[in-house]
Amino acid sequence: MIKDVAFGQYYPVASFVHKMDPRAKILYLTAYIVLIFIVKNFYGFAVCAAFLALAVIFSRVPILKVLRSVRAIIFIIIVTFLINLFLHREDQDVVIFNWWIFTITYGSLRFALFMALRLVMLILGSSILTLTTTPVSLTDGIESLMSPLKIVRFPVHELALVMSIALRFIPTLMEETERIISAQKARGADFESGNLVSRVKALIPILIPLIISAFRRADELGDAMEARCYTGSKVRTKYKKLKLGVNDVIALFFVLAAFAGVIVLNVYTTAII
Amino acid sequence: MLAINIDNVSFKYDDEKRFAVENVSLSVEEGEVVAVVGANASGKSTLAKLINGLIAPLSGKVEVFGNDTSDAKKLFDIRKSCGIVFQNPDNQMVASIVEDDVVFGPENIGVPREEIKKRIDFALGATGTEAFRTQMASRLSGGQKQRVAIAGVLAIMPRILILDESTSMLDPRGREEVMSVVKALNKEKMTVIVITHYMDEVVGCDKVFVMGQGRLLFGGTPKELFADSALIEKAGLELPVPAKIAVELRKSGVDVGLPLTKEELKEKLWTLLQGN
Repeated sequence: MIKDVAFGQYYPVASFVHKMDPRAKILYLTAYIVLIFIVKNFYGFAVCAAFLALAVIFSRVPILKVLRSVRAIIFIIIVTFLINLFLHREDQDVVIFNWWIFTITYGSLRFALFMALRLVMLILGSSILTLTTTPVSLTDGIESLMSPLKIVRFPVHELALVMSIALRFIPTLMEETERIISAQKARGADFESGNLVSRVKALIPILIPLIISAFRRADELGDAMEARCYTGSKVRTKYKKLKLGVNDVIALFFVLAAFAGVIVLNVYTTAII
Repeated sequence: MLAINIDNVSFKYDDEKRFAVENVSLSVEEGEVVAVVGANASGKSTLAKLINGLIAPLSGKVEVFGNDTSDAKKLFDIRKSCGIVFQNPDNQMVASIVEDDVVFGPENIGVPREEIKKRIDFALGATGTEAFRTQMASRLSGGQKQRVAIAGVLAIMPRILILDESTSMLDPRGREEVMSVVKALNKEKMTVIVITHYMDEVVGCDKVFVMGQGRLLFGGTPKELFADSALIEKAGLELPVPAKIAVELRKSGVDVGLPLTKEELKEKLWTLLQGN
């Protein structure tokens, strides 16, 4: 089912990571991404992997669900892996494979694996954030982190609301798309055969009804929001107050430990593997 | 106390020639359950939007607890006292999680945090949706979603609840779920306006208004409405099933009057049988 795409799919269980403040999670994820980019060797990745493993364990999300997120970018990973494998060159390299224009060296293999691993770690880490944080608390977190921008009159609240409504309508519009596809197929539409141009053309009878219906929904939602006294941000109160808790402090120690580990390994390890 | 007073109101949408609502006058007392029926495009939904102040009348006056909906300063108070639940539950929720959606209204009107908590409990309790509190709304059934939508409106604690064809997309069970919530709310003095196509939802109401091509064709009790077969025909309405059976019975010489509910019909038939 298209409904179950990993993006924005919250996995509802109660866990250590679920209970964390979304702001802390966003910041720690940012830190983790920085970490992945400063790692210089595979030992460093071992530290990142250990950190990631702890995060998965404490999030109580099944490992398969987390791994599934890689599927979304598998194509990019393979392409970058191949490009690096055949094109990367290092000084004093050992050739391990050579045929026609394709040459693999020890250095290129190492580098290609390294970059692929970096991408995998990146998407796995990000998916833990989206799996353990509801879209709403994610936008709450972003809203709160961006609130300093209110000083320069940036519409932080409006932007957060737009984001959460967009997220809220993803499953609805997915369902709608499926329904339209079935309806058009029932009328004899053909989406699977023909060349690229005719296939893209075949999408038009799906997109137009979808866009029209999205506008209609937007219209009704606007009425419903107004009927529920929405006027903007002036008198609004906020029910969910974000509060940093013990979990966030404990997690901070792990983030710092991972940082320390990676930096130490970057400095003291000369082996290149 | 008069909850709603509509005085000779007309309204026309920009892109249409015909008036959506024309010279309509009606009033609703606080605590009443009122049904509004009529064919498609008869002006029922426009009436709901007029009452809530989503649209302002071109002429005439709409008052909600004495507040004129044409007065922009009063709109906020009007919407606080009068909530609408629309037809499609999918198009009235702003948040993915049930609780977050219910919170939207109280946040909008600036309710303090502690009080919001109480209101969520009240709204979810009144609609029997406590169990879904932390669930994704997209995973719920139609009836459950619509009850959540009602909870979202209830959390504002309105004194009037308008259901604008809120049961039309639901299966019979979902309809029953929603209507039983409405009945329970009315027991707590809530004024309810039910805009509907289903005649069995009309039967239990205190009053019923019939709309046709933007005009008010009838205002009175359900009993009076269903006795007027010419009007039923004209407005494109149907009798409730028990009444239909009674009409058929009369044709074959058995007079059971005009029962509107199954119970009434059963009662009539029993007395008739015992009499013989």
